[in-house]
Amino acid sequence: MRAPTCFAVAVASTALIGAAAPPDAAYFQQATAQRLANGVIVTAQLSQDSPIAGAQVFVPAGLAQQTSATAGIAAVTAATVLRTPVEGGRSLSAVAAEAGGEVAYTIDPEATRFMIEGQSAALPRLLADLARAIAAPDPAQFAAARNEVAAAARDDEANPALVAYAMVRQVRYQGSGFAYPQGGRASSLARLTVPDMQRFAASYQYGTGTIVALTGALLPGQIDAAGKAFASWPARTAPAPPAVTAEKRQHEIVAHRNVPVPWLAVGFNAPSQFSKDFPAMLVIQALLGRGGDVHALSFGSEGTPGAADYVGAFYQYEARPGSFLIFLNGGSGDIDAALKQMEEGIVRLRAQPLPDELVARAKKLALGDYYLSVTSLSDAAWLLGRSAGSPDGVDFENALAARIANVSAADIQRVAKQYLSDETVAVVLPLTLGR
Amino acid sequence: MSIHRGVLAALVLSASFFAPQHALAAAPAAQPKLAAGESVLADGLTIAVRRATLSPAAALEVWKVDGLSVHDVVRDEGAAALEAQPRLAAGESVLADGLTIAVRRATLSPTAALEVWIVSPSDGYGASAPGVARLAALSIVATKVDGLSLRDVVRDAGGQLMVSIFPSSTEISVLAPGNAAPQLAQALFSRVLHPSIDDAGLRDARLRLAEQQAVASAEPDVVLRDGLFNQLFSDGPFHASTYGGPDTLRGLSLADAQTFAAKAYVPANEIAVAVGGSLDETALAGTITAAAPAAAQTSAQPSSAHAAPQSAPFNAGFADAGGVGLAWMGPPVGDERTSTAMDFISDYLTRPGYGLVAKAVADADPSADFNGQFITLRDAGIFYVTVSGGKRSADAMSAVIRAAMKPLLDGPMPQADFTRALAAFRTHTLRDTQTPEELADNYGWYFAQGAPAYAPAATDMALSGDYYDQAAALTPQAVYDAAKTYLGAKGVTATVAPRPATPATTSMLDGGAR
Repeated sequence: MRAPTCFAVAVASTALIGAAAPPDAAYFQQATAQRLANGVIVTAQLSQDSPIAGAQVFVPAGLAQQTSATAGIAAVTAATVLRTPVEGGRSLSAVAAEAGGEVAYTIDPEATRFMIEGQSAALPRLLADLARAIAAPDPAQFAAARNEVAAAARDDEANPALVAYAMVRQVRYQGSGFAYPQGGRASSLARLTVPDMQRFAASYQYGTGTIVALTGALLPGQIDAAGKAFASWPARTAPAPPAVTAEKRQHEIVAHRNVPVPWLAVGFNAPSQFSKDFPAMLVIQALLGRGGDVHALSFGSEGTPGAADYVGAFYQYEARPGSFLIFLNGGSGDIDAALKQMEEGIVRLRAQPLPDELVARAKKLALGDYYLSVTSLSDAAWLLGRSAGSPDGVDFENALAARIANVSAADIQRVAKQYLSDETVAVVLPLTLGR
Repeated sequence: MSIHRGVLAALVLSASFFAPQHALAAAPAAQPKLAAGESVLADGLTIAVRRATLSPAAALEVWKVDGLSVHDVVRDEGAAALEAQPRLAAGESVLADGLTIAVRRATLSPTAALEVWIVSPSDGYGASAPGVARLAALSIVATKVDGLSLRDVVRDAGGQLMVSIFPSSTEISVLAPGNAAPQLAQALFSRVLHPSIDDAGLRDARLRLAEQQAVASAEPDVVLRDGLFNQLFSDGPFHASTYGGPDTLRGLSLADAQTFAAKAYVPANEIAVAVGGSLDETALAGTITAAAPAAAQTSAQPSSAHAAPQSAPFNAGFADAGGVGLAWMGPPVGDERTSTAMDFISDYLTRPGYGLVAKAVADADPSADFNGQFITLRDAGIFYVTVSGGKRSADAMSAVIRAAMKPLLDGPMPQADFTRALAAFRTHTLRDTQTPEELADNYGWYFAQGAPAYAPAATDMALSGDYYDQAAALTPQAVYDAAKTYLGAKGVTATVAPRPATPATTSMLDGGAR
């Protein structure tokens, strides 16, 4: 068990589970976790580098909880929360900004995350403001929030990587709100109402399923205060999102867009983040092409800046089931040849164990990607929150590194065989004359 | 009036250094007002002594005034007649060979930022060769030693290698996973502090440079920034683009890159920085010390002369989108008080989502991209803003920018507003220096400007250090004085024209077919 402090009852598991740490491992800072009476988990990872702190608040309603009729409501609700007046008629965003801080949202497959960063002393107050805004998002802000989301959704529609990503999701996540474009469609956004927004905001408020992850320079009293902001939420468990059956058929989807060169995304099933196969899939991702992190294509108040000209492997492991995509851009060469090369690589992965030297190199890359994904307060808070919600608790952070280091050639072959088949191919072609 | 500055390239040039010379040249018969550190001997000889903390070398010059011109500049480079002791930040030290090292622990991330900064002109020494610093740095990281380039070593260990070229400095950095930090520190410091370039490395560098040139020439923000600097400076590294042009690829040879590296990559010009959470500071310092080369003679750092601002906007060329940029000269970094005031002004005006100008531009045209900042520089900082990709004309957007700046030029801010803005400025600065990479960059940048102790990163939980001391001392009047002096002066404007635009796009998935 990591060193518990006087202000938190650690609920983390007692050891790195299932794997020994590699001899040259790096370590994440010690963390604590406390489950409040209503089920909310408050977890903290402290550092004394600078008098600032960050938070990621995970609430248990995201893209998957939307319906066809309400596609886009997750983003509109989160945007309304940020615009809701909390202090002296000033919005949550404005209050944070005036203090030199920031509040932002990201819509995940099964959660909405609110990120707050600012001076350590200001963080508890901003978290209390966030809790108030979530409890009563201002209906007067709904229209502006919807306009903001509609504009961002239009931007996404112009991005070939996001178009291809949406096409793959449309096929592979039927029956879930994750099948719809992340910012919604113009038609569904236009039909959204204030009661839709209020219902969605109410679906945030489940004690069990909410995680408040704190990082940076915080005192025990500040951590307690952060938890108190969410202590009044109902002690109930968030319902599970609609189940999705892993796709077992092959598909090819074609769309025409105003793009100069063809874009292509090949999607496969993949283990989700708490699966035992997750570490091996991270190594496979390193083998097939290092891409951005899991949030590179996420929809949020900051837009989707990572999506520009996205090429490489993209592993969406926050969704259940996960999916693994490889993006190819015809502008960088012969797209048919690249597709053939990629398919040959996957066949090789499935056919026989890889040489030890190649596996060792891929594990280094996967481990590097994992560590390098955490450099800022908000990165660290995201990872901490994910870990706190995992079956391993906050020990998940270091356990995952050890598990990546222990992936074997046989693991890679087994996981490739199990998941890397029945692909969905999404092709975005340039508009031709007459279309 | 003309002033022939010859090979004027003093290690420290500042506005205060320039000012008396201009006055002297304009009115030789009058008794000029002397700068701090200057005095007149009984025989009439004026002497000026200034401590420059960056280099152990000293520049000794004799200037003869003849009517309205100054000529016969005599230099004695490398003579350590005046001992220079850099005022360093906590955690920094200087080895016997002149190499500065900075090691700092930052515990949040399981990564380490490892960097070498080299104070060097991007267009080389002697005749201007734009792009030579970039070509040399890209060649160094591509040249194989024992069968592997630095780029190979970093990639295979799961790290990321970055090369950044600024007008007066080069940065080669590695973001290392904590588990690979010792190995990558050894690789980075040994290779960059002992640079080698071969034909294969140069070929690889040419390809990458060509790609970077293509990307940069499409970015309106980059084209505008280069255009603004081109207008503010009449020659030297700040006048030329760090990317160079087609001539860089055609004309620069292996010998050019090697000669540049031999002159620039010497210990007195360099700082090795390591920031991270998994660092064994003692071992790292040992790694750097072991990699440190022997002392070598330094070359004078070419400077850039300030150009007289032009009234007409400068046409900077074409890019993927049109846009406009405005820029003003600011104080030198040595004037820490005013530099900090300019940082505050920059924050108050240009920070995305917060600054007055940033918000005014977003309100005027939500589709426009905005950039702006005050760049702290050794000789004279630059405050600039660019707006690109929007629907408004350059004139209209310039008017929006100037109108949004006006409140700061009209008079001191109300105390309550100032107090709030100062607290926000402090928090912004802390947030902008939170990752290992941001911290290391900050140490490197301020070393390159000759003011290592003034780096905002050089602080602690109590916000001690030069930078936050200066911030705490700011007043509404000091901010107003800085704004009036520098942003109230004549600036320069640059425009960029768009290449033919593509038509609007269609709706997502509407054309999909299974």
